[in-house]
Order: sequence, then structure tokens, then C-alpha cells
Amino acid sequence: MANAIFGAAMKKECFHFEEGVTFLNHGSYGAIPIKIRDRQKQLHDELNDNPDLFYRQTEYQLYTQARDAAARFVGANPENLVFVQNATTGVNSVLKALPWRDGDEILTTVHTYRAVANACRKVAEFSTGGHIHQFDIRFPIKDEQQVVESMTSHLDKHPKIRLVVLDHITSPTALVFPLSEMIEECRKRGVLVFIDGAHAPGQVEINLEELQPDFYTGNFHKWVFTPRGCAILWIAKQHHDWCTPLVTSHMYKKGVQLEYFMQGTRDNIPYFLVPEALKFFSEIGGMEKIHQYTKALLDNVTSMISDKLGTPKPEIPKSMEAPYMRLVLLPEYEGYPAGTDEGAERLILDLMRKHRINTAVCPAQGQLYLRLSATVYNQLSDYEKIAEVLNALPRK
Amino acid sequence: MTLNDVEFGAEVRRKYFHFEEGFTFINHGSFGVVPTSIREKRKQLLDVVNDNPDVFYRQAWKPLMSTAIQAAAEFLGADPNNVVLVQNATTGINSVLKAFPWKKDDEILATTHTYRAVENACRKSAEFYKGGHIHQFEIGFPIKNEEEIVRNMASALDEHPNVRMAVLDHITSPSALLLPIKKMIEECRKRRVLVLIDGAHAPGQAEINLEELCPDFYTGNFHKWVYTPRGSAILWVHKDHQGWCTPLVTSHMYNKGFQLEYGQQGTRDDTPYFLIPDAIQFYKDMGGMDKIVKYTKKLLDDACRMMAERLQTELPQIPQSMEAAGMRLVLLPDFDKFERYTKTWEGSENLYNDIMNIHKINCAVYPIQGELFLRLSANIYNEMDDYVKLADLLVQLLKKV
Repeated sequence: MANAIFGAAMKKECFHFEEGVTFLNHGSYGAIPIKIRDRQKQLHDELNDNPDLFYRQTEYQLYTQARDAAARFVGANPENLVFVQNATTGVNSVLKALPWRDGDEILTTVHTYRAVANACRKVAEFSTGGHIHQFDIRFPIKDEQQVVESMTSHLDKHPKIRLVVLDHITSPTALVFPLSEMIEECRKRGVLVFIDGAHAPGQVEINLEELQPDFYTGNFHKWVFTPRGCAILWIAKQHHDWCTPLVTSHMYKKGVQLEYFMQGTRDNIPYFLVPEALKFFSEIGGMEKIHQYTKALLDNVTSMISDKLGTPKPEIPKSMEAPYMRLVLLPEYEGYPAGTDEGAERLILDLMRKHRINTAVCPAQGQLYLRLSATVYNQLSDYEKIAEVLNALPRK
Repeated sequence: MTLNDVEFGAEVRRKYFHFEEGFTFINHGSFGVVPTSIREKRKQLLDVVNDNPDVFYRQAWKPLMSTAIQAAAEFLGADPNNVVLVQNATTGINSVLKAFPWKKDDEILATTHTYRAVENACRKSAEFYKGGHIHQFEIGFPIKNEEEIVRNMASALDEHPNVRMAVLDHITSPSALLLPIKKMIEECRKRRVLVLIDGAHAPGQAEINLEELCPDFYTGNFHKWVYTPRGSAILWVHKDHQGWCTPLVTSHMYNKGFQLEYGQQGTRDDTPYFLIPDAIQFYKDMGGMDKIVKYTKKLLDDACRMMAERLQTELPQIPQSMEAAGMRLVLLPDFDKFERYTKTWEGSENLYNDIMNIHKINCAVYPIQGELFLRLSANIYNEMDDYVKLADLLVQLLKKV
């Protein structure tokens, strides 16, 4: 398998998809190799053939093995790492456990994932009564400094900010943030930092003990090919005593590791596929090899599509380009109001239903952007299809 | 298709279930069991999800979710608008307790048989929010009649006027008691105390009509006695509370209403929920509650009598109306020659783990009132021989010393 060629060959050999559908949206829901799907079914069988043995014993062993493998992958001390079902749950776990004070404020960005922004609002409504601020990030982005400065000027203007929630890679706009510098600036000001790394594991290098935010959450079921839902939550040691999980269960007061492990009887098997998924990831070449492929492919196809549509490319520094996702500016279309959620959703569904192309469309700065994903089973022809369809749509 | 003539016990076990060779399963209560047909359907559904995740997560899940809620609601005599799905009863309990707008000094009333995880969730809320007390009123053997339980609860409520919410089991976990919750809810109402019913074991085991019963909140697992994959449970919330009773995970549907908020809790595997309609159909195909309960009650009557005789112990005295359909306790004799089997949580865990690991019999053991009790479960794949095996083992163990 190490010799499998990326693109159609890999798609055929390692994956199974519905016939006649084009998949350009790995970023939203991930995709699971056949081997991992089969192994998941095997584990279901093992569980179902002897639930007592599985839940009373096997589960914990599988959990710690998986956690240790995940920890190695993201440069974490396994004691600081727990599993959660998805990044949204990771964010909720921290925000809802944090001992807020009245009037505490939170800083996010205009590109913060909607669900995460909602969780911040919920906490403001619930616990603090404070404000949610969003610092702006607009194209063109000249350099990383621009982003850092936008954040620091907000922090300096609003001294009540207690926590900053920053993306490692933004969801709607596929931007890699200069985290080291941003975390430093937060530390200088005594502000807590939560990194929403939903898209980061498998897409960019992560060394959590070096990076040392206060909290970090990242999905493994996107770019690391595990079943859904499988994500990690990393918690800095000094926060272990209060950062308890959403579900309080048998392991109440028994410490972070045991508390997060036990959240009532449910299916934790997605976590246990981490070692297999990491094995697959490395067997197909690992991050560098995949990057080489996807970056070239995305350079190629984004040029091709934006040339065809006659739209300019969003200006961002190369260092901020996500290896697996890229934006293409869409022209203003009839029936898909620019810059709106409604327009974006309608276009996504029409592409999905009428043209059988799975992709993502995001509103930003009053426009609609196509968010293309590229991974090991994609190739040029996938994108030629969408280029044609998009070009044919009636414009305003 | 009805399978009414199929014989419970070994035949059903062979035809509709699949277990690890060489093991005896008399602990349906802890983790439930999933029939082969449901296991297969779930694998098929996962394939559908994985073959086209976008279509599934953007669209196809919605009708599956509402069909599952409809089926679950109908099964429990509930208005589907009041029912949402959660991963297990512990999550249901946590959802209510952690969303509730507690006031300082509010107190919670539970019982001495409250499920450990639920008790912890109550303590967590008290610690976290307002520093109030948790009280636990006593449930102890022998129990003469249902009135005794109701009275104990009522006096606890009268003694502690700051109790804001009572957390009551429909069927207690360690002791398999079917509590008289209708009367208990009435007494709580009289005193304007909110009622959260932990019905973890109830769906499939007891008749439930939620709109008639009308507590404030009710949670119950489908993955125990209704054969769905884990984790699959309902949370029923009275209309008056739906405005504030938001889920643990705030996500895309924030402020969009009760149903939509619980429906989306981030990307994960909700296929256990979507097997609810098939599982209910299986339950009905096997004969439904009347037939199943008739079988399990008789089997437990016989098995417990046999066990108590052979162990030379006794069965706890409880009214027949308080006997759960699928679970029953047997007092265990003293294991005082065994250091590991003390009459404590730790001792009970050591005992059932040893019985499982060394002797390949899956059962449950609980410490209650300073003694250890066997909690035997019975389901349609069980028969007398399963319990004889355990009796043989225990007698042998005790003889050894």
C-alpha cells in the first residue's frame, strides 16, 4: 500500500464511496478507509458478543492505548490528553466547566466556527453576562502580523477578556493561524487561550507540550481517517482540577483521565481506531507526502477554477494556506444571495442533490467562497466537474 | 412478521443472538444485548453514512431522527414533541441537572439506592452551582408495602423544605425495585417539588405512559431492555421546562428550540438512535411486553428460589408489585474466608470480575445494607441452566474453604 498512487487508484483500493458522486469536502465530515471501517465492525462484534467483558475491562485498555498513540501524534504528554466525541464537545467541556467571574468576556474571530461561537454565547448568557468580542480578519491578508495585531489591539481595548478562542485552521476560510506568536501575546496579557484545532490533526504539525496553550481540541475523524466521533482535548496541567467533563458519572473526583473516560454507557469505539488510523496514515506516506500531493493539486485546481470563473484569488500569505483546503471566490449568482448563510446552504444542497458534487460553500466579507478539500483519494478530474457546473450557473 | 411461537431460552438465543462461546450471560441489566439482526442493520447503516457522509450529515439523518423519536415516543406513551434522544440515562440526568436554574441553598432529594453516577451528578450540581445539600432517603429491606416508600419520601421532603428537586428511580439499579412513582410524583407535586425520574431500566421492562405520568423530566435507556445498540436513550422534558432545558453540547442549533438543539451535538455517530424503530419491532416480534415479562418473571421466580436454597440464604422481602420484570436480588452468603470479597463496592467489583474472568459467568453483585447481593437478570435468551451454572460455581467456591 505504500506504493499506492494518490488519486483514483487510492480511492479504488482503500476507500468505498457511493457511485457517481464527486467528493470535494473531506474537511466537513472526513472519510473512512475500508480497512478502518472493517476493523470498527469487528470491534462492534467483539463488544456485542460479550458486553460485560468489553465494558468492564477491554474498553479501558483500548482507550489508554489509543490515547497514548494520539498523544505521540500531537506531541502531548498523555496525562494531559483525553478523548471527546468532537471538537465542539471539547470546546463545550472547557467553557462550561470554567469558573467564570461575573462580567468575564471572551474573544473569538469573525471566522470562528458557528457552533463554537454559539457555545461562547451560551456561556456568556449562562455564567458571565459578559460580552463576546470578535476580531476581524479580512482578505487581503498581507502577512501573519496583520492577524496577530488584530487580536492584540482587541485584547488591549477590552481588558475584561478572560479567554481567547483561536482556530488552528479556520473552518470557513481555511487559514492557518500563527499560533505560537498569538499564544505568547495572550500570555503577556494574562489571558487564557483555547485553540480550536478541529481541522489540525493530520493536516499540520502539532506539538502541544511545546505550544502550551491552556486548552486544545482537535478532531481525528477529519484528517486522520478515524470513524466519527473521535477527537482529543488537551488540558494544561494547572487546569486539571476544575476542567471536568460535561457528563458527571462514576469517576466523579477521580481525576481528569478517569472522569473523561467514563461518560455513561455508550459507543466509544471510534476512539479505539486511532492506532489503526495512524498506521494507515503513515503507510500511505505520512503528512509530508500527502502535503506534496494536495498542495500541488490545490494550487492547480484553484487557479483553474478561478480563471474559469474570472474571479481573483483570495490574497493570503503562503504560510497561512491550509495544506488540504483552499478557497475560491465565487461570482455573484442568481438565487444564491452573496455573503449569506442562506445562499451558501442553498448552493451546497443544489450542488449535492442536482449535480452529485459534495463540497462546502462559506459566506465571508459579503461574498460566497467555495471551500475545496483535497486529500489522498482526489484528483484533477474531480475539480474539472465542479468548475464546469459553477461556470454554467446564471450570474447576477 | 410475528414470531410468537418461537421458544424463549436456548432456541431464541441460537436464532436471534450471538454470544462469545463458553460464557454465561445473566446480566442483561448492565449493558443490554443487541440481537444479530439489529447488529447487521447498524453495520449497513454505517456503510450508508460512510459511502456518502455529506448527504447523510446534511440531510438523511433528519428523517431518521424524527422517525426514531416518533417510535420511542409511541412506545412510551409520550408526545414526540417532548422527547429527545440522548446517549444514555446518565447523560439525560446531567442534561437536566446542569441546565437547571438552581438558586442558592436549593437542595436535591435522592435515595440510598440511587445509581452511583446519578448521585455523583447531583453532587456535582450542588458543588458547582449553589452549594446546596443532597439528601438521600432510606430504602431498606424488608419492604412491607409501597406506602412505606412513599411515606419515607414524603417525610424527607417535609424535613427538608429546601428540596427543589427529587431524583427518583423508576426501577432502582442495585436493588431492582419498581418504585411507586405515580404516588411519589403526586406527593412531590403537593409540595411543589420538581421530579426527575431516572427510568434507566424502565423502557421494555415496565409499562410507561409519560403523558399520563407527567413528571417534570424522565430519562430511560433503550439500549438495556429494548435491544438497541449503545448508547441510545430518551429524555422527556415537560413543555414548561423546554425553554431552559438545553443540552450539554451547545452547537449550531443554539436558541433554535428544544428539538433542534438536542438533535445536533457536533459530528459523531448517532446510528444507535436510528435503530430504535427496528429494535422496537424486534421487541414486538418476540411477543412484546406481556409475553416477555411473563417469561422473565417466571424464570426469575424459579432461579432465585433455586439460588437461595442452594446458597442457604434468602430473598429480600419486597412486595410483589415492586418486583422488576427482568431483574431480581438474591442475598449472598458470607465470603469471609475470601479477603477480596468484602461487603463493600470494592468487594462486589472483585467478586463479579473474578466470576467473569475466571469462571466466565457474567452477573452483577451489589453491596446493600452491609451485605452483598447477586442481581440476576433474565431475558428471552436465558433459561434455568444459566442460573444453575452460577449456583454450582458459588457452592463450589464456598465449599473450598
